[in-house]
Amino acid sequence: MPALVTGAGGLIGANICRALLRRGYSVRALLRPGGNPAAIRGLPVEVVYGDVRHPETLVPAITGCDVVFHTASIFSYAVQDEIDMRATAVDGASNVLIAAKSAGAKRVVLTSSSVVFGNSEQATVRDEKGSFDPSDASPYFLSKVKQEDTAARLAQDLELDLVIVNPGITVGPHDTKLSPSNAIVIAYLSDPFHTTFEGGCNIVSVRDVAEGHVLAAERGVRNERYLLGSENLEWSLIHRYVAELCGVPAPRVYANHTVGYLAATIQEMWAKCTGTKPLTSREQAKMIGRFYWYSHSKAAAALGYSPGSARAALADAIAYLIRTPHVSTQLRRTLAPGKEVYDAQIQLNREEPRGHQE
Amino acid sequence: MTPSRDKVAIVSDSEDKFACVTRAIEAAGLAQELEARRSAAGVEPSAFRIVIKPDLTFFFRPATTMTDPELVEHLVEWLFQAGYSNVSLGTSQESSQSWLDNRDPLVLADLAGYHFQTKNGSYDFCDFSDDLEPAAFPQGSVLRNTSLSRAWLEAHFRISFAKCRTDEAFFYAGALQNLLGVLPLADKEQNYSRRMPAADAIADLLNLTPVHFALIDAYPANQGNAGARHSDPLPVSTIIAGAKPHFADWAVALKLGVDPWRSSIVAKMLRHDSPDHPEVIGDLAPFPGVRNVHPMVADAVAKRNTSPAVQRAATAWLQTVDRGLFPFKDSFTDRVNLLLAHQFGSLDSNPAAFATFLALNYSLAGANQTSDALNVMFAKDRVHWMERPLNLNLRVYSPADYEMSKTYMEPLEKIAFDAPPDKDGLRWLYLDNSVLFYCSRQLPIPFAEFVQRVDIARAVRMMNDYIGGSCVPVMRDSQGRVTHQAERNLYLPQPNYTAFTGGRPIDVSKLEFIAYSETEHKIFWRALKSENETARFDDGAVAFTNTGVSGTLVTITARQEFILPPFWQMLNLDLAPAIKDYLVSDAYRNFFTRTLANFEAAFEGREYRVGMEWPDATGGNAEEPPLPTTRLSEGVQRLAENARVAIDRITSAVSLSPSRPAPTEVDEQGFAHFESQPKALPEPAKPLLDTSLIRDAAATAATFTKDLLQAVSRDLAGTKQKD
Repeated sequence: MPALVTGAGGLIGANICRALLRRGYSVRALLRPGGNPAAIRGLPVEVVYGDVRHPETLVPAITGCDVVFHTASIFSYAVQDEIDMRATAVDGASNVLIAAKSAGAKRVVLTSSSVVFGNSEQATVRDEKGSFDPSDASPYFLSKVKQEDTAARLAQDLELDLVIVNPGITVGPHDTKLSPSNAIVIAYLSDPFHTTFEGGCNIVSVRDVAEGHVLAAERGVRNERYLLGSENLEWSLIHRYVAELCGVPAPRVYANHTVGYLAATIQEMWAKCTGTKPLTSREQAKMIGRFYWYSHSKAAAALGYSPGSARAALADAIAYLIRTPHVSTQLRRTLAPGKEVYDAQIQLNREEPRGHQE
Repeated sequence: MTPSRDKVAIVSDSEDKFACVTRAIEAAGLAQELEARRSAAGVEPSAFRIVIKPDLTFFFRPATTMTDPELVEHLVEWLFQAGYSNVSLGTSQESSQSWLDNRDPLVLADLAGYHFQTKNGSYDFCDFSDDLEPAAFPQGSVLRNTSLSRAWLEAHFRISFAKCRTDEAFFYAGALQNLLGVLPLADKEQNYSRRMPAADAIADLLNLTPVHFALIDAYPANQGNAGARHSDPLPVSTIIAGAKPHFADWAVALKLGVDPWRSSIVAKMLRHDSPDHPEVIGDLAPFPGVRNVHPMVADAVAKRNTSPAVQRAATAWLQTVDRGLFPFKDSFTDRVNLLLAHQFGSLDSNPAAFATFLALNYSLAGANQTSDALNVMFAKDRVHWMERPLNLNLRVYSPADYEMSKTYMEPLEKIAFDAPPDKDGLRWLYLDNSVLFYCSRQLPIPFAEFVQRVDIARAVRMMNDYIGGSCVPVMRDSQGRVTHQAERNLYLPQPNYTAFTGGRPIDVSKLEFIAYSETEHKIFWRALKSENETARFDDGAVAFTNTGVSGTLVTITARQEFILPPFWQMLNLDLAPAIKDYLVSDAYRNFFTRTLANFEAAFEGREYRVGMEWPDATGGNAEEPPLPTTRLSEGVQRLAENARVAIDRITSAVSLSPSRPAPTEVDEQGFAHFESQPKALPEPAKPLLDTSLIRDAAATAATFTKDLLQAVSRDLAGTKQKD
């Protein structure tokens, strides 16, 4: 079955391409003109160029595809990306749905985020019924909520089959641009104080998220939303896992909100001065102390979604990250990865020999 | 009869420079050389390809720093008359073309006075940076990736027709230094002096494409401390000729009253090819009254030139230039040159200029050394890789010599292993002033996977701080794996901090033997020599051992003794064993950890080498970096532009008066007259003060404060809850 993946050069898009190929789909990968194809280089996919913000480029790209996976979006916690982020999320989704209708696609799977179901100050687990408090939200969260609303309404108007998937914090390989989720791992490894903080999140492997997308396309119910997560963990445990996997000290100190916010401010300023990308931001610092815990029971029951452990997801992500320039040579020298990481790396090597590496 | 190739003719004739050339080439046996080569090539004289490399160091008139074109054309005519009609001349591009116009080789030749024809025929003038062909330099050569001009490569007979002149960096220049102009990349200093020693580049060039005859034009010679920077003719009316260019240069040095071995380029060839003196026809007495380069000038310039950027800038600033012939490309460099070149051109007659020149160059040299040391310590990726040829004659070694490294190392491994381990598992002891150490670490990587991605034959190049060298595989096993190889390795100064006190890169040449079994891949090496005498011992073994389910055990055993710079030798840490032990322990712990990290990086497919790669060495496409002055002036322009924009914004933000048009005329009484403006629709009133900048800043500050207060209140609430 032919499928189009928008945002195929991104973390989730590149992994969906792989998941589709494993299941025998013929894959068309949509990249922005000038977009970096490194994450899908060497894969037997048809690369087409277009931009979700330019509707005229979408119909030719979708024509002939039964299903469209719309993953293209800007994932950023930087406030300065707000306008672009919203335009890509909302206008992009609308353009893709309209084009999908015109091109005759049978189904659109929209990648949203688990954050649309809100978060808690207590360690409570939310599901697809969860609601969102707009007064306490980052531009990224708001863009995702707005995107879902617009897409759901438009799909109804167009009588288009739309399924929405909501991944948790997604980590893993083929992340050429370094997404904020994978940056969490590097931020901990780069932190000389080995700081952790209160609160927690749902960490999931991008491989599971990609499989979840394909399952949603095959088995999902029209107009339904599916949370794609794995384990709900406190940040301290996530950081401990990262430490154990990389052979570095376990978390030593807890950063409170104030310290986290000030540290993020300094990081943002430093990044601005050096022209680099900050590993963390003030918007992320606001997430300290909150629990982004979600249940994927609905996806498990309806789709047969069965993710691996969070620790395995982290090992896989670390195996990938330490062989990319995202981890500097200096930083790499301070790490002594363990067996789980090397096993994951060997798996990566087997899946994609050197020629396919980004 | 085969003519003697060890002959040098020194001919003087103050009356007729052409007759002088004819006599020199006849005395040195050019006709016999040509005939011997032609018959060996088996071609007719008309098909016998001869290429001449003249010196085109031409920046001003009188052009006493380049080979006299009339003499070169006289040689060409002589060849034509002898029946050799296939003659071409050539030179390659050079770095001055990045700051001067009209420096293309063909334009330069035209301006210099070449006519491209003589009475009896015409000749081609080639750009040796053009029409490049891959050259078959051997694997151990520094030029192994270099292409050469087809004209040079395919010539049956090559002649270097150089200028006899003093040289700031090498004391004197002659036939061998002239050959740098055969190599294709324009920035000779960076590519053929810093990247690799010029002596190695010339030696490798001659090995592949020998020069069969050398002529040196001392009609006149150019003398003085400024070398090729400034015209200072020495009217000695002499031509030197010989079949071997290094013997011709040897004679040049003696005529200038300089030790021939002062030039590293000539010294390398003289050491390589018989220490015996050539047969001399003529007089070796030094030119009377000759002024040479003062050793302090050569030392200061050599040290200044360790930075290619400084060298490029200094050359552009100090070179005497005829601006009519060669206009400067940027006005800033032009002005600096105008200010400095004349001042520092006459070092011999102006003691103040001489002293200032030394002071400036030594200051720059000091800055270079500090910058290099800082890079070695803190920014290793900014240190350029060092390209060096293999300096071992492999013909004299049998396989047993390589295998000897195993029998030498095995007992040492046992001794090292018996030493007590420190808290990190490092075992070490002193042995004849060297340090013998052993360290191992278990990697949780299956042996088969590890050795598939980490080639044991490359283990020595994966050692910490490896910065360059070369490797020649000598024997392979039935599976094609290297078993015997020779390497030359360069490492950053060890310990790194010695770079601040004159520590030099460690340079060691080794024979290596590699043993493969089902359960272990192991390399043994033993040092044979250290070209720069920085190491007395650098022997060792690295093993990758299969430990079953636990993965791969990496073991390093090594015996090392590096020669410390004089400052550290003076300190004599042997008298403070506690401090020395701490430093040794720390150095080897770092060495092992970082080497292991390199093995892991190799497994992960990451770059593990420190240092910065040089641009493409094949020639032709390499872009020359801009001069620091050009960068500076561009930077100043950018800064000025940014400042202008900022001032505009501030001006518009605080502007309290509406703009008014420029007057068309100001009359004698000083009244300004304006053109009548068409009555336009009234524009919406503009705010007198554009407050957007202030508003933005205030909003950012307010958001920051609000979020910070929110964070603080959350923390306080959390504390209360806990209480």
